[in-house]
Amino acid sequence: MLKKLLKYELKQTWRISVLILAVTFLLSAACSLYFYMTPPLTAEGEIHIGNFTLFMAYVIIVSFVALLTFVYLGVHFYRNLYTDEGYLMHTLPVRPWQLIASKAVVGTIWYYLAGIIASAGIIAVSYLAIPRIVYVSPKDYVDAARLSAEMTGLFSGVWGLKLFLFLGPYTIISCAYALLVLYASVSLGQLVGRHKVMVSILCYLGLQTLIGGASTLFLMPALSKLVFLSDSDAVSLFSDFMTGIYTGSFVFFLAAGAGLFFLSDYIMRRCLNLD
Amino acid sequence: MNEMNTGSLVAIRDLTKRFGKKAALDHVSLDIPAGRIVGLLGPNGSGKSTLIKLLCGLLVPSAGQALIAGNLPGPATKACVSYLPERTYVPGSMRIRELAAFFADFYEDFEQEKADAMLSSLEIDPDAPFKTLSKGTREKVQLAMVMSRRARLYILDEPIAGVDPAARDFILKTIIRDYNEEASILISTHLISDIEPILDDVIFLRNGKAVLSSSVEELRDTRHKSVDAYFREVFAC
Repeated sequence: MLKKLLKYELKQTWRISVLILAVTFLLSAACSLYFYMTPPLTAEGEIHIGNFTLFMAYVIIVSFVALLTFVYLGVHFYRNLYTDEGYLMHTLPVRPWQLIASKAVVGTIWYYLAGIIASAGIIAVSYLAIPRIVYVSPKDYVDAARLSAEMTGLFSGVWGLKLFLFLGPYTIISCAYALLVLYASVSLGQLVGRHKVMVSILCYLGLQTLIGGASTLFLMPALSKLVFLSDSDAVSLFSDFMTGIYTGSFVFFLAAGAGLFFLSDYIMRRCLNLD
Repeated sequence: MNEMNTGSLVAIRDLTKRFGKKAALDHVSLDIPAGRIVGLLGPNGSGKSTLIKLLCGLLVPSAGQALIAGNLPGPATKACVSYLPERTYVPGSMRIRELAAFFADFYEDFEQEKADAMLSSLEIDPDAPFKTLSKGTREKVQLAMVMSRRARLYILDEPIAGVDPAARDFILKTIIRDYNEEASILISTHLISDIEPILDDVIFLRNGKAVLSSSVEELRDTRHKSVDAYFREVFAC
């Protein structure tokens, strides 16, 4: 049954999600083309305010459009399970956890893709836009490349290339976790008689605050390790620090995501009250 | 407790549902045997929809329980209960053909040929998105899907409210013609005169309590009145 639910969830969500992805991609392509066609600045100290404004507007709009995917998935979850459509979904011979799982899996795919396309677009447009906003000398390029290599080494920590393999699952789990916070908030909002949407929004803010505090406590041992005794310690300490942060937050996302999943499941099993 | 012990398809015991301090359903106990068409009758706010939602697992009871074929509401009961709610529950963007495929995918007892024949007799374009249909046509399509299942229990919540007399006739004919005779039908309505001819049993609900549960024949014999007339007498304002 879960396979069938996944199929219908994909069918129900692909139109809007693909539209959002397409808008993000087209905006990035249009901006990239514009900056590609514009000659780079040649005089030292020169700044192009128009290009800077356009670049900032692009970043804000693309981030907003990508965020729309998140909002859309939350609205879809609410409409499909807690409004009139819930009469169809909750009378299917499936268990509530299967309904939540199908939405979480498909939602994670769309949210992940939205994040990837928006990030890739921003990186590509930044690469083209920066030399058109400020003058970049050949020496700056060399410095930037060196800094980039150093930062990569620093952020990769002791893991080296493994970090980049780890980033995929890490991003997917963080997307799933973000959606499960949203789903749990919508489900908690259904426990009250009136103003369910408003209560859901308040629950979302409350859960974010609560989980944010808990995650800080959880990551405290890793956070407290960042004490430099000398410059030579910096690289290895920062590497250890990043390793601790990544593994700690990965474990935290998994544990908190599972907790939120069971909370939504519990509400649907034991407290479902469709109006 | 199971079906064999109670002898009923539906066994409701002390079922209570409270919303805050108000009891929408108050310690109701009922049995619905197999093979009967049962009218669930009562004025607005009497608890009809609450009882139906509890049977369908759309509400969680405050106390008591309802068993369908020996099971508490859950995947097993949902597989054998065909439910028509009083509202449009199909996503607007879904086409009728997709809706039929959806039913066929999730309900093993769904008969595609039966659904196709009903849609064809209604001259409905299966490629039409649900949101483009009129209210009456939407109700007919939903009913066609629900009645195309070989379910053990059909639960129809206000199936004839808000549609024109021609649509009402179609719906009643469909109910009688297409239901599986070993199954039971529970119909909630306050349009009693329209459905009285097809009813075997009636349940009267008032203020969340079951005030009468009887066969139509027995009611007519003992009260010397039609169900409609007796209903008006019981619920006179």
